[in-house]
Amino acid sequence: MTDISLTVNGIEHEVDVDPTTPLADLLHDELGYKGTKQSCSTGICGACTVRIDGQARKSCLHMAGQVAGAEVQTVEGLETDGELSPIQAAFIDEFSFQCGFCTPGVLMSTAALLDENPDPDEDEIVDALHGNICRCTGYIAIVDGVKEAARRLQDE
Amino acid sequence: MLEEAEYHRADSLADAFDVLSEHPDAVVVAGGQSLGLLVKEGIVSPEVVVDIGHIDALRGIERDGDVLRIGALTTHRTVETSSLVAETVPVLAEAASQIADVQIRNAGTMGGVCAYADPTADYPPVLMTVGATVHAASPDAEVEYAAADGFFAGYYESALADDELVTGVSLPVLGEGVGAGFEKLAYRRNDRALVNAAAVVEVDGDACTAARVAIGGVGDTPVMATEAAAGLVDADLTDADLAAAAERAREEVPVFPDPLVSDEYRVAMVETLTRRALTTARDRATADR
Repeated sequence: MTDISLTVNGIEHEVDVDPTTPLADLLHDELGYKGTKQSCSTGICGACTVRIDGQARKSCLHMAGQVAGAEVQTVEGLETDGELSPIQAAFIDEFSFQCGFCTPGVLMSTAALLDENPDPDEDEIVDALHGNICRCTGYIAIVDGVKEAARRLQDE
Repeated sequence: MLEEAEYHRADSLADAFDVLSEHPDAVVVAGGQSLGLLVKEGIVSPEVVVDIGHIDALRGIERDGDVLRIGALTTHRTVETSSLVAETVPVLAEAASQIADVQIRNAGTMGGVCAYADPTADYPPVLMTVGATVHAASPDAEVEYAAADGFFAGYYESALADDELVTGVSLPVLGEGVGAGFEKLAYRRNDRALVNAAAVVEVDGDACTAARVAIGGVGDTPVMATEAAAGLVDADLTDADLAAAAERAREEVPVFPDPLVSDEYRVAMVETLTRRALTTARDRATADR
């Protein structure tokens, strides 16, 4: 076990953890960020996507030691004072999820995309979400949600 | 994923070598995108992990005259989006953009691809055809390997000695009259390649002065299709010339059996992808004529 410090959603955490623990487990089991889901735990499905220093990353494929000192954002970090972010609101209005299990990962990929590219075309959206698998097959609605989120963020 | 393994974060190459000399069986992790999968699947169970991912000196892309140097820790996403790569060796950025997905490209590294030597990886055929050098270091020396000359030595096996770490790759800048192409076939876009192909052609006036073709994904290592390439030298590079070269590639490149894909299909795709990669390479090499 090793003391590791990292920032999650702006809050600094000091944890005594096996440094080879996957970040996904650290977030969900140790730190209580239950929004970070794991499905495959092998880097395929993207459900566990979080942002590490702003970038979309698969939290099951990062060891706790690798993210010591990093700034992590989980889906819980999207809202502001209890208000859903425009991305989350757009996903609700566009019915961009069914069972919702993949949604936190999709939202984090979307947030990273729209920070980097506020007005993505459909190909760019599809490329950004390629690593997020939805088994309810709701991709059309997800892409619509990202487009609507981009519009709302630009109108802000 | 790892049960109570010992973890070391190296802040410098010297630091990493210290850990490796004390723990020769330690597993080196850079981006960690392949290791995570291997551990989860129980294929690798490291007792000691050395994280070299924070050695900043190994990160970055620089041009030095006719050479593009890419640090070992440079991520695929950085290669994909680099304007310097786009200007100098655009085919490498094209290959980078077809690796896995954005999340993995944000973490996976050039050095990791070289050291891991996955036979289906997308960079190796490009590195081999453009004439790249893989740079490595041991505690005592700096070592260089020609990518096309045995660096990808076997099934998930590079030519690196046990005490060597990849520090970067250098690639010749593709000048006027040099064109390169890359093609990849996967069941789902950006998945592991069933077959991939890279090609470079060099022209002087109307004549082809040199050609190189490499095929990945079909055997233990990516391989150079030397017969196919040799037949193009002094040719006019007509579509028929390229088709004939692709046919030679199909004949000379051994395709290993794969339980998931028929041999016939992959053999046919070696030809098709070679022809397409050569066509792109030819069109780019002759674009200014």
